[in-house]
Amino acid sequence: MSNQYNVDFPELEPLGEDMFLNTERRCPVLLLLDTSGSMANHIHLVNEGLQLLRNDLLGDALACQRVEIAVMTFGPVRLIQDFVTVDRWLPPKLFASGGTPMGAAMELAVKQLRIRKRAYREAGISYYRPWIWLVTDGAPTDAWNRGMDEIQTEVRQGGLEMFTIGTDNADLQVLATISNPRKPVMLREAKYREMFVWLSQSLKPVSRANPNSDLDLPPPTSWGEIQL
Amino acid sequence: MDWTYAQAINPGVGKETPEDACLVGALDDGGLAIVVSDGAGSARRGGDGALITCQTFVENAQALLLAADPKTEFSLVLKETVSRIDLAAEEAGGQRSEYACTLIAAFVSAGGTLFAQIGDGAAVFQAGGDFEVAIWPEEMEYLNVSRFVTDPNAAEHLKHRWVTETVQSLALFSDGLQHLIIDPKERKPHAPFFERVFRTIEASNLVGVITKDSRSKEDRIHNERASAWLHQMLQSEFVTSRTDDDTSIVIARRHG
Repeated sequence: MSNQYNVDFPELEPLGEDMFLNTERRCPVLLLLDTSGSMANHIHLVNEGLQLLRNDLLGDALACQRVEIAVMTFGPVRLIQDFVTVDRWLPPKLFASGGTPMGAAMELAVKQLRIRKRAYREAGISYYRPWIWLVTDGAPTDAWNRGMDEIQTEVRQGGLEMFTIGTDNADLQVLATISNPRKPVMLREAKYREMFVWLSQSLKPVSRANPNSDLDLPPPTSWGEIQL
Repeated sequence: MDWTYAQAINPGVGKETPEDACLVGALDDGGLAIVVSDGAGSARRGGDGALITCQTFVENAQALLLAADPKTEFSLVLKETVSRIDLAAEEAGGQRSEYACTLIAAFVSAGGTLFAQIGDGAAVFQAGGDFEVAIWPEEMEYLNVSRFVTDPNAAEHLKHRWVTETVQSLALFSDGLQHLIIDPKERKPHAPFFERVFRTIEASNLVGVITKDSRSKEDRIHNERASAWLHQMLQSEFVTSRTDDDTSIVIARRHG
């Protein structure tokens, strides 16, 4: 219905920048990455993947202003990078060492998301439902029930999109419990690069989605298998 | 007729047809009905739902304005809307939820102005003083979540408000534009936008465009010059650089 009117209106008001607010929207994504000792052989692929994620998102003007990335690692639990828009994000170089304290990592992740959402609200910034992207090659080496409960509470209240990706010796039962009802994905042949490109491609439409639209993600066939 | 109106819809980036709809009805006593509806992005037939919603609420404007208990009357009109949607769904072999859409409405009579809303988007009015948001969109935490006419408990989420002061100016718009012209922090309309929009409709009234008698009542109060200006505004880089969503707006101004 884009009617074309055959009238000029030179005497009418000119349009101006001052008529409109600069609306800010954010799509927070927390990368929760296993850096335990067993990841040593693959950590350089994770690092490359993070660079790819950044470069791919940078090519999308709206996404790189709206997607905010935070990086947390476990082994030990550390907030490497607090939430920052992609245009200002410099991916870290991660090293692998230690155990797999996934439980403590999940607790800190939920806490960081809550802090971020409060900051958005205080600044009057609208936001999409946050994502947590958890990648692990093993089973938790700490008590993980509380962390899992906190994540599942958020998921049930509609406050979180939870993704779990397993590689090598990952405990898929545990991952399924954490990301329920979303199924975990098993990474194939250390395809970290493909995984991060998929993440980027999936975030682009979300960051510009009309409000009210559900997630409609492509199947992860290029890098993994959904574990049913 | 006491009013002049103008309207424009622009489909979001990469779309041929918008899922937003607007409809204006000129009422017998010089009153006015304006309804804007935003078909949900996630719903396959949200645009059809939006059209049905606009038609049903405009057709029932008099009944709503005369109702002793607007809440009950709104529930009835909502029921009628949903049965029309169900009928359309049945014919198309679809589901009611595929027609999910919002409602933003204003009905003006001599006795006052009745506003109603389900979901996001907003109506802004001016009755002598500052511009005011008629009904604050229901707080939904996340951008990808809203209420819809087709929700099972939609009637509970329908909010309405009577304004008995004489309303001079009205603007109704869907959420694509809402984030650009309503300040969420101050919870106020962004005055520079509304000032300019209403100056435009006034200026183009002075030039006098209106009326060929053969036209419908609605056509006679439609200010095409202002509509053309609104179109240009929605298609301008000022708007399209800020949102990818459908944008739609109806403005109306009382004479004198």
